[in-house]
Amino acid sequence: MFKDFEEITENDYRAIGFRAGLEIHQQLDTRQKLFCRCPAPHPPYDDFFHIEIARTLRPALSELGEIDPSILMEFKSQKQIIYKINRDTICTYELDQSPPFEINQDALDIAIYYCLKFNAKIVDEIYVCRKYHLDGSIPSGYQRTAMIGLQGFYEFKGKKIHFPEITLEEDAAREISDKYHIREYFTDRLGIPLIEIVTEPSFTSPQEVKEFAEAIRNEFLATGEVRKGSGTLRMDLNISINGSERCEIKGVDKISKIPILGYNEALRQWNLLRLRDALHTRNITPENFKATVYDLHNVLKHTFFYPIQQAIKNNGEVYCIKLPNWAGFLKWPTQRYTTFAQEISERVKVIACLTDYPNIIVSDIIDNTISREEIDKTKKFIGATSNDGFVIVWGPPEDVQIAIEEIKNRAYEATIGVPSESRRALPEGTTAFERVLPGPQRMYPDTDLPHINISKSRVERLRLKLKESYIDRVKWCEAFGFPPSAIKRICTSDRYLLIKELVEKFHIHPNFIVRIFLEFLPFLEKRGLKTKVLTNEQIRTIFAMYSKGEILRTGVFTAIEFAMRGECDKIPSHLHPATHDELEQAYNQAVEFLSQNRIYHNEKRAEILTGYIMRMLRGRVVGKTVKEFVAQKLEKENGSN
Amino acid sequence: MEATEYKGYKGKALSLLKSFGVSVWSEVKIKANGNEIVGIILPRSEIADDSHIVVKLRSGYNIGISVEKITSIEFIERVEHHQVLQKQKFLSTPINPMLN
Repeated sequence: MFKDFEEITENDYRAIGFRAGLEIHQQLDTRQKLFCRCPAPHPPYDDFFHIEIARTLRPALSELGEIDPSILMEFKSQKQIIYKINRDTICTYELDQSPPFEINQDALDIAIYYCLKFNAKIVDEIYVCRKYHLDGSIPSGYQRTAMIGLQGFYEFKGKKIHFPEITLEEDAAREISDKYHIREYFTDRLGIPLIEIVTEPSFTSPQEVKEFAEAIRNEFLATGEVRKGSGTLRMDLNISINGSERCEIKGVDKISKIPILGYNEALRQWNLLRLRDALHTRNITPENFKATVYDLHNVLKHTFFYPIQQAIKNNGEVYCIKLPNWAGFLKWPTQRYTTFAQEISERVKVIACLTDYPNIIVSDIIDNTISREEIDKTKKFIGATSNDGFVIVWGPPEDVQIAIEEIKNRAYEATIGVPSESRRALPEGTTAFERVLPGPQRMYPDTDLPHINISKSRVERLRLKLKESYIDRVKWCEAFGFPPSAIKRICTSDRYLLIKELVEKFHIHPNFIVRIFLEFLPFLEKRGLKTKVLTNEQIRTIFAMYSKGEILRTGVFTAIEFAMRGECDKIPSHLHPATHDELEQAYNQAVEFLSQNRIYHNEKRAEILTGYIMRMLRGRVVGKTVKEFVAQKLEKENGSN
Repeated sequence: MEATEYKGYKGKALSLLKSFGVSVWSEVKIKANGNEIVGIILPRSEIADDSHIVVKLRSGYNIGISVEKITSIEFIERVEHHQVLQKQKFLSTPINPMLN
């Protein structure tokens, strides 16, 4: 038995031969896009657009004269693609109406930097290639991509995780709907440079993949050359178990979802292998596989089942595919809460574009569809016995013909095992068919761009810029006694190097650092002040004054606010520690203020005086000192009375 | 004959290919700088330098490898390539019937 998600352990995954690899796509933080000079917008994206254009894409040959199966599959679905375009961030390049500009050198530098960071060998001569995508996610039908590094690795939990390839590519458009033969995209993130890192299948449990993804994400954040926020890091998971083919789960946008997605995919593959064995015991093998197609138009033309009724009304067709000896197999469980019927239904949805559910009826699950009488009539018409299974499909004639082929294909594939395919991650942690797995045939060298020689001096220049790794940063934080809860944020902070300098050079206490950088600056941000305007040099000056005693700890907060308002020159004159005379003067003013006002609670007099003085000498005096000063004064006054 | 077998290659790169007995459209195993790279040698642009050879990796990506880093090239097999589209019947598009 396959254990529940809550109970499954690493050993259980090992027992079924779970193997996973990871592809990480991380957007790079550049001002411009990869192959044009349009601004690269930051998320979150809005849904505003000026223009809509429609495209239909068709396949092209690879350099070796072949067509990739995934491209043919997409072409079969005959989609019309609608792009929603905001002209502030899209130009004619993205629409494939003008050739590309030279590759963004900043993005290339960052990609080389990460190759060095992950110990990869930099490619001597870079060739930009076209990777064909007929799903419409790129208006030109291909994504420009280039191999930058080979054979890198990252040490993780005592083992080397190898990265055979590190590539730089442009981001694709964002799908917003896919209905019938129309698919819609927003083009906001189109063309933004991203780095893709592919690992070998080195992981033996989904939990391990998750931890590794977190480690790599932290490494990216620690260097500060990548974009932060939702959707800027997307992952694909490659999963297989003993006896199965590799399946790719695409579009995983949250690291926390990896365990459940990995579990469901392992469960699906395990169940499909069991289904194959069960089929073989009934003598349904690839050699003996049979599926017969029947036209059910006359049998179901008076049905009350609305979807079929509508299909017939719109001159559509209804067909039945009889699967001899398949009784019970169509409701075979696959993932949590899904059955084999869903595998068929997804194929029909994606390839035949019959997108309205239910798009098929299967003999094992007929509830709430056609009537019992219609089932009996259907069985009689196709000559099905209680051992046989069948699938009914309906819709426009061209789509139904494609659907029939796909139903037969999917049932046939069940006799072989697990088909190799790309699957889409769904929010509930399951996956759905997206397309057959693409191969190398979809690559073609770009004819618009020259190759790029990477000079030794360029590599060495970038090697010198290498920053310490996330793990080393964590070690440093631990050595200096930073609170554990703050370490991750400190290590991935853009100001990490400054923080290190403050601690090591000015001996600032880590707790004070945490107070300023993780609490006070976000607090100011919430109040509407932009902390980005605060330069490292300004912060350095403020802390230098603090360490020399020119301003107090409390004055640092005020000084930062001054600096953010562009009033740095006020710091020495307005924030030097208050002298005894100034304190005396402030006290007298406070007493005068109180004399002009009525106090209802005389016992709070000391508190009110302290508050008044603190406001007057804000940032220049410590609360404790004022409190003691006021207490002494009041004591004297009471004594003299 | 030589022009097609070593299309675009000249100077150092051409000598290297000849010395290891390989030509364009050969699948090869290249040892360079301590790494082993498997791929297909592709024709090179006539206007490019003579210091690199172009290889299509198994993933489909093309890269250029510096001649100076290559220590050995092992021939695996000759690869068939089709320059002309084989006739394939595509479905006509219902949305755009002109597209055949």
